[in-house]
Amino acid sequence: MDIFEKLQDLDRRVFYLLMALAIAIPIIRPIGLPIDVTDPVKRTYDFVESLPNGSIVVMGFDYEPGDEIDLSPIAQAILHQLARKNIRVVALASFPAGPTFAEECLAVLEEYGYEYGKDYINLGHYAGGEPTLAAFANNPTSIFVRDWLGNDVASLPLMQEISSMKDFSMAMTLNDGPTGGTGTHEWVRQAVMAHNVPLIMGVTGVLAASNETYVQSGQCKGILAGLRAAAEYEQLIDRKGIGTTGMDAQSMAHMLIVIFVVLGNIGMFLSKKPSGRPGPGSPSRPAVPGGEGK
Amino acid sequence: MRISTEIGVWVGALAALGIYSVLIKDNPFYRMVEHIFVGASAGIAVVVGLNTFKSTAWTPMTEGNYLLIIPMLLGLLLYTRYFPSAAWLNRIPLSFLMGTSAGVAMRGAVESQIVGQISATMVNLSSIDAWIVFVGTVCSLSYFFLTWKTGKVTGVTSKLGRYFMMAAFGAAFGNTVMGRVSAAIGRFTFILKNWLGF
Repeated sequence: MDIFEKLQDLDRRVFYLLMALAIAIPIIRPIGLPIDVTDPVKRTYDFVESLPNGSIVVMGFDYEPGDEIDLSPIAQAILHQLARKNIRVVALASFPAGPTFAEECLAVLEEYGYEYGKDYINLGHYAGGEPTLAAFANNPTSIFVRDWLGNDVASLPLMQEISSMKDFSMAMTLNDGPTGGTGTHEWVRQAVMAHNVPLIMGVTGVLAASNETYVQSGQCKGILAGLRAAAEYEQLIDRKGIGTTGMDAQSMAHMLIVIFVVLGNIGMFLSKKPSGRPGPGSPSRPAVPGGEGK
Repeated sequence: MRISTEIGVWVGALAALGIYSVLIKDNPFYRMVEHIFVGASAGIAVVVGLNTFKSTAWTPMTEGNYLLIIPMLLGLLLYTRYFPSAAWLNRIPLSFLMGTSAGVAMRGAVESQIVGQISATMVNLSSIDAWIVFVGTVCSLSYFFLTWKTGKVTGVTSKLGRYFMMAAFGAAFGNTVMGRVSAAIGRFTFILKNWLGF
C-alpha cells in the first residue's frame, strides 16, 4: 500500500486534529497574512461614508449565537465608521439572542462619547418576523414600548426624532437567514420597497450568493459576507479586530482543506479505486433503471 | 496564559469541548452537553415567549389598552387543536395569521423579487458580466422546460444551464465551508482567549 492508498483510508480524526491545529495556532500566534479589499466591500464602505453626518440608522441584529463570529465583527466595524460620522444608531433584533449581541457591539460607540438614549438605543427583541417589522416601519413605538434596558421608549430623546422608517438614512440587517427571525428578503420588502430607505446587508457566507442579486438589481446598496468581509472592512477603517485575526485561521484552514482535497483526488486516480457512490454504468449501478442483467 | 475565573466562561468552554468530543467518538459527555443544550434552548424559548406576551399584550392591556384582549383570545384559540371537539376554532387565528403574513409580504414582493430581479437580469447588457448573468439565467431556466422534448438547441442550452447551476452550487458550497470554519474559529477563539487566556 503506497502513500496515496493510505490517504484514501486516513482516519478522519487525523484530519480533525490537523484542522484544530490549523485554526488554533494562528489564533494564539497571528501570522498577519495580507488581506486585499474587494469591490463589494469597498462599495459598501463608500456608501456608508456618503451618509449625512448626524443622521440616524437602524440596525437589525437578526442572527443566532452560531453565526456570531461571522456577523458581530461586521457590526463592530460598521459601528466604528458610523461613530466617526456622528451617525446615531437604533438597534433591534428578531432573534432572542440578538439584543445581547447588539449590546456587545454597541459598546464600541461609548469610546466615541456616545450616550445611551440620545445617540444610540438597543430596542431589544421583537417576535413575529415580517409583520412586526412592517408595523415597526410604520410606527416604531407601537412595537417597542420598553427598550432592552426597560426604559420607556417614547421618552428617549433619540426615539422622539423617529416616527417611521423614513426617518432613517440607512437600514442594515446582520442576517443569518429567515428561520425564526426576519430574513434579508423581508428587510428588502419593508425597508426598501415600502419606505425607500437604502439597505445594506451583513450576511453569513452561506447567504452571500443568494443575496448578491439584490446588489446587482440596485435594491441593496452593499453586502458584506462573513468574516472575510469583516477583515476587509477593518482594513478600510484602519482598525484591526477579530475579523483580521480570524482570517489567518480561516486561510490556514482553507489551505488544509485544499491540500487534502488535492491529495485525496490524486490518490483516488492513482490507486484507481473510486470511492463513494458508484457512478452510472458501473457494475453495481446500471445506467438504465431496471437494466439489471441486460 | 491567564485562565478565566468566571463560571459562565468555564461552563461555555466545557460545553464547547463536550460537543467537539463527538469528533473522537460518541460519548456520555457529548450526550450530556447535547441534552443540556436542547433543554436550555426549550427553556429560553418559553421565557422569551412569556416575556413577549407580557410586554406586548398583558402589560399594555392592564394599563388600559383593552383592545388587546382580542389578539389574546385569538392566541388562546390556537390551543383548541388539543381538544378534538373544539379543534375547528384554531382555524380562525391561523387564517388570520396566514392572511396577515401574506398581505404584508405581498407589499413589495412582486417589485423586489420578480420585476426588479428580471429587469436587473435582462435590461442592462452593457458588460461581459451582464451577458454571463443573462446567458446563465436563460440556460438555467431552459433546463427546467419539461413541457417539450429536448431538441438540438434546447439540449445545448439545458446542458449549459446545468454547468451554470453546478458553478452556482459550488460557490454556495464554498461559502458554506467558509461559514463552518468561521464558526469553529469563533469557538476556538473563545476557548483559547476567553477561557485559557492566551
